[in-house]
Amino acid sequence: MSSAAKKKTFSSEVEMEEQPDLILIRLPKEISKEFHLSLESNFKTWVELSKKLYVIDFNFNYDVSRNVLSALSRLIKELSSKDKKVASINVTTELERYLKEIALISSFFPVKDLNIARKAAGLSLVKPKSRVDAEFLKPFIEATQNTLETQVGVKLQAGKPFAKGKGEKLNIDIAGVVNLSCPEFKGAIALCFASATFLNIYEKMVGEKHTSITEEVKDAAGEILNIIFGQAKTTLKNKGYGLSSVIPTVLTGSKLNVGFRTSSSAIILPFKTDLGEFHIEIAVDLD
Amino acid sequence: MFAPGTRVLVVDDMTTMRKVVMRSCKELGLAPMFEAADGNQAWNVLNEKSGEIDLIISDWNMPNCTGLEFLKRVRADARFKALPFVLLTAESEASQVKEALLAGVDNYVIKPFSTAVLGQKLGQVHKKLSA
Repeated sequence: MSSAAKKKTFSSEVEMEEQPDLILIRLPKEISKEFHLSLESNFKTWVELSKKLYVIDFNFNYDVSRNVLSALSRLIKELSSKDKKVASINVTTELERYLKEIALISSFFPVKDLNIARKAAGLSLVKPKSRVDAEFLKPFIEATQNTLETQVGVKLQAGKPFAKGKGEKLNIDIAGVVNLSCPEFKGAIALCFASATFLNIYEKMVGEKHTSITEEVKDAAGEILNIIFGQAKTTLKNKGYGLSSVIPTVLTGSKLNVGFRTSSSAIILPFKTDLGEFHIEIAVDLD
Repeated sequence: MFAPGTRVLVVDDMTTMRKVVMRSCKELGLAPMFEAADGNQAWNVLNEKSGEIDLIISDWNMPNCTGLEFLKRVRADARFKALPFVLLTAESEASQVKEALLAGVDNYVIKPFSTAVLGQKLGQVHKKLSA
C-alpha cells in the first residue's frame, strides 16, 4: 500500500483503501451469506468521499452471489449519478462472462489493473517518481532478501542503492534479465553475479558443486530472478503498477556488461552474503 | 506424511527448480524418480509409468502445457483421478489458485519455499487423503 494511502476495514469482510487518487473496495477471499448487508451499510460513507474513481477489487473470488452483485450494482448507480467513475479488477473469467450475460459488464467495467482504470477515468498513471523511487525499489529489495533466505538458505544484507556510473563495468559473469513492460513506462531488471558467487549460491540451493558456469546450471539465474520478480510484481500491483509476466533470459560471459536501452542509467541494488556479493540493476525509462 | 519411498513425478521447465524440488523430496524421505519439463512431457511419463507414480509436484507456469492444464488432464482421466497433485506457483499466480482448487489440486506451494514448508504442505495432502 502506498504510504499516502489510508486503509480501513469496515468489518471483518470488506476492506476500503483510500489512495491519493481513487477508492479501492476490496472483497474478501471468502464471502459470507450476509456479506451484501455489511457492504450496503458502508455505501453512504463511500459515496461521500471526494474521489473521482472507485475500483472494486473482486480478489479473483468465485463465490460472488447475486445479492452481492445487486448491492454493488446499486452502489455503482449511485456513484454514476454523482459523476464518479467505476471499474473492477481481479475479476475471474467466469464472473466476467456472467456480467456479460446479465448486461452489467459496462457498469462493472472489468479491467486488468488499476492503471487501466486510472487511464479510463482520465487520471494520471502511476510510475516511479524518479530513478531512485524508494516505493518502486523496495519491493525488489524485500523480494530478493526473501527469495535468497528461503530458497537458498543464505542470509543477506542489502546495501545502499546507487546510480551506475556512465560506462562503469561491474564484475558480472552471469545475469538473469527481464524487461519491464507496462503501459506507463519501460525498463529492465538484471540479477547479476560474479562466477564464484553464482556457483556458491547454486551449490547451496541445489546441493551440487560446479566449477564453471555451464548450460546445466545457468537457468538458476533466471529462476531466482523469476521468483523475485513474481513477489515484487504482486506488491507493485497493489500500488497500481501493471507489470506483465515475462520469461527471464540469461546472459553469460566473462566480465559481462549489462546494458539497457533506456535513456537513464541503471540503479544498482547491492547485496552481501556469506557466499559472496551480487547486485540487481534496475533501469526505467520515464520519458 | 507420505510414506518413505513414495514415488514422485517432478514437473518444472527449469532444470534448477526440478533439482531443488527433487532434493527437498529426498530430504523428506520421498523418492523423486521421474521428471518432466512441461505438462505434455509429464502426461507422457504418467502414461508410460502408470502405476509407478504416487505423487505429482508440478510447477504452474510452464511453456507448451501449464501445470493447470496438466492437472485438468490428469483429473479428467479415471486412472489418475485420485493421484495426489501439488502445484508450485509464483506469488503473482497465487490469486488464481482457486481455479486450481476447483480443478482438483490437492495443495499448492508458493515460491520461494523451504523443504520444511514443502513437507508441511505434503503432510496436509496426506492427512486430507487419509481421512
